[in-house]
Amino acid sequence: MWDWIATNTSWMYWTWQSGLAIGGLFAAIAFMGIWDAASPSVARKGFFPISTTRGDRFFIGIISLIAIFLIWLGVVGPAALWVPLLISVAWFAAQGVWG
Amino acid sequence: MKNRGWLFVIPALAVLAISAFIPLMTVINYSLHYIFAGSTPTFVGFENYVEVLRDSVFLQALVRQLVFSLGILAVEVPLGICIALCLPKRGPGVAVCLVLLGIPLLIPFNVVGIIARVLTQSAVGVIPEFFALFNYSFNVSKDPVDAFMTIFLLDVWHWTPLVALLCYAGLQAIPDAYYQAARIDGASAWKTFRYVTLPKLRSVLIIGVLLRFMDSFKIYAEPLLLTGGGPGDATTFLSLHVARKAESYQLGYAGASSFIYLFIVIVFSYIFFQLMTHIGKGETK
Repeated sequence: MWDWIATNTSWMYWTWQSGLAIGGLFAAIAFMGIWDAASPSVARKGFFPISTTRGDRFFIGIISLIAIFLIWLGVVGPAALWVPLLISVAWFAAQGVWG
Repeated sequence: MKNRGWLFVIPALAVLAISAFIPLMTVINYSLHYIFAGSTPTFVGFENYVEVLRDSVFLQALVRQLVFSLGILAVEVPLGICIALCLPKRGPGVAVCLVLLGIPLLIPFNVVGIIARVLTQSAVGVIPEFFALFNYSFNVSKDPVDAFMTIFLLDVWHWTPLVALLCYAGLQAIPDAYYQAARIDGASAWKTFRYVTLPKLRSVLIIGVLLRFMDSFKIYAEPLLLTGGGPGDATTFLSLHVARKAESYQLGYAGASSFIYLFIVIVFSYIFFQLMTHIGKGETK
């Protein structure tokens, strides 16, 4: 089955990096869905100027992660990508807890 | 499981997977490769993104696109509200006005571009002839301001009726009781509009602003047919720039710029949505 999928999706040029990223994203969305079903999120006011639910903060976190990487790539280039990764993870956690 | 409603979502998810996920992932995967016509694709990581983000033509097209889209919103939304307020509320005039407003919306993008091309052509067009009366040489193929403003006004003409129709529907849904209460309180026309009409139009305005922002960000056929992106790069909007790269088989670059393009639309749409949903509710203060 995996061979069939690999053969018939070769035109999409999948790489393990993009597979890992999209797989991680879908896993995170699924996890958020299960979490919300088990314990429904309530909108709250943190340091953002609007009330946000858990899903809002997750979305803002993903958008921020992409923005941080794009800014880094534009300004510094593809070197030392662990720096934007660390910044993104720190920001993701901070806005998730206090946002 | 008690709630089986989620089963009904499966067909929609399947359609979404085919129409959105597969093309989007293909574009993202392309953006990570060096792909040129006929060559074997080579994985290059984020190199294409660096190239796009440091490309002055892309950045200029992005700024031009933002100026265009924000300008469009600044003109079309207030104008649409004004038109909706001026339309008759009942009587035979309603149908006539709605049909007249609907006509521009029925015209396809490419036809609008061709109409504009005919009207603005220097030898035969009506518009250059009109400006010649004021000793102004109107030329969309030579003057960047003429070209940009022509496309801008073309979009205003084409899509303001959409905002007007949305607002008109919103206005019709406001109960008279609110206006009666405002009259009893002695509210002026402006205050009635500011504190009754505008808040009640919030939901249709959110839809209108989001639709117009996303659509104007995708403008392609009109500049392509009218000016081909010129003179120079004066009307090369993001979609035109990305399409040119894809047409020249620089698929890695086109993929990276498409992803950035999509990202910008998502970010701006989210900001507009949040602003318009929360504005006036005391949360944005």
